[in-house]
Amino acid sequence: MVDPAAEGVDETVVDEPQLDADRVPTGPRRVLISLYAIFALAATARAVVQLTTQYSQAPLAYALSLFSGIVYIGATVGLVTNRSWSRPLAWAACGTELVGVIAIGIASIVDAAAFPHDTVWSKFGSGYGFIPLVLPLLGLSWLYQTRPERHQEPTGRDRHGPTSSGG
Amino acid sequence: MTVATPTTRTRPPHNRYRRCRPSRAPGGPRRGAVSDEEKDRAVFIGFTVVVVAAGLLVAGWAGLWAYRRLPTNDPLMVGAIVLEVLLLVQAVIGLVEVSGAGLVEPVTFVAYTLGVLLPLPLGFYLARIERTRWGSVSLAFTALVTAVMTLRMLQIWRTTGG
Repeated sequence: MVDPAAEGVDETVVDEPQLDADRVPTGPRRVLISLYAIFALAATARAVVQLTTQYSQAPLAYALSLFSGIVYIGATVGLVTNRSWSRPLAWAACGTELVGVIAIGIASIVDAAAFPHDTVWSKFGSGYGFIPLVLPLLGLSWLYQTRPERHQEPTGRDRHGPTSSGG
Repeated sequence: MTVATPTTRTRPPHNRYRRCRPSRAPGGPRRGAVSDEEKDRAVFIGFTVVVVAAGLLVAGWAGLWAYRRLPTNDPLMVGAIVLEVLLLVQAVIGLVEVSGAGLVEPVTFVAYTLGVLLPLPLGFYLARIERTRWGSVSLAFTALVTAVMTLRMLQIWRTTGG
């Protein structure tokens, strides 16, 4: 197998054709995709294993794990795709995630007895290096900073003269 | 024929510390007597430690490249491929030996064994299409996840119910 990047030095600077996403920075988005995809895998796999092997022990915790997995999958799909519903989906998923991790985080500390088995969101995601708490903040800030109205000005031509957007 | 020169012998003639090792408990297993099963377990543990080290190495390397605002280069990608091959070998060893290992959570172990294969190809793919520092960040993160998941596997592997 030959790595195409090895064939030419120019490969590193060639812009591959993209859709509308060209104007918004794609790099952070791809990092977010990797983060969300892995957490979708982690939460969903965990929930499936727990629900199949020990459902009766803590149905609430495992159902929450499954729910968080679905939310992560939704966020991943919203970030990967580039359709009209992609950004609303990503907004909704990241928002749900932030609410969920804070609510479950508080609940799991206040009423530890109700959460004998950890979920991804228990104790603000301390079992996962608090990434579940940081991730929705990263996702929401990316969505906010790349919101469409901020990138309305065509980059190639300046039809309206100097842009007057204050940012 | 030549003989070993006496001056190169560094080992003391009498190792007094050898006597200080704890003696075996009465009725316990004889020291040095290792069953085949334990050997197999030790092979997997040793291999897992190698995988964790390789994962941290790739993660640190890619992280350094991200810090230097560089896209991933070919040696780094080859390193990622080597890491994935190690993971595949680990999966084969783990799946072969899981039945005889007497684990408390065999299903979780199998899920991890297969799940740990997935993050790195994603990071590899993202690093390929994203020829900026962000591709390096993606690869660094996925390699780190691989190392962490392998550590968790090691933990599950060592939790035996007898």
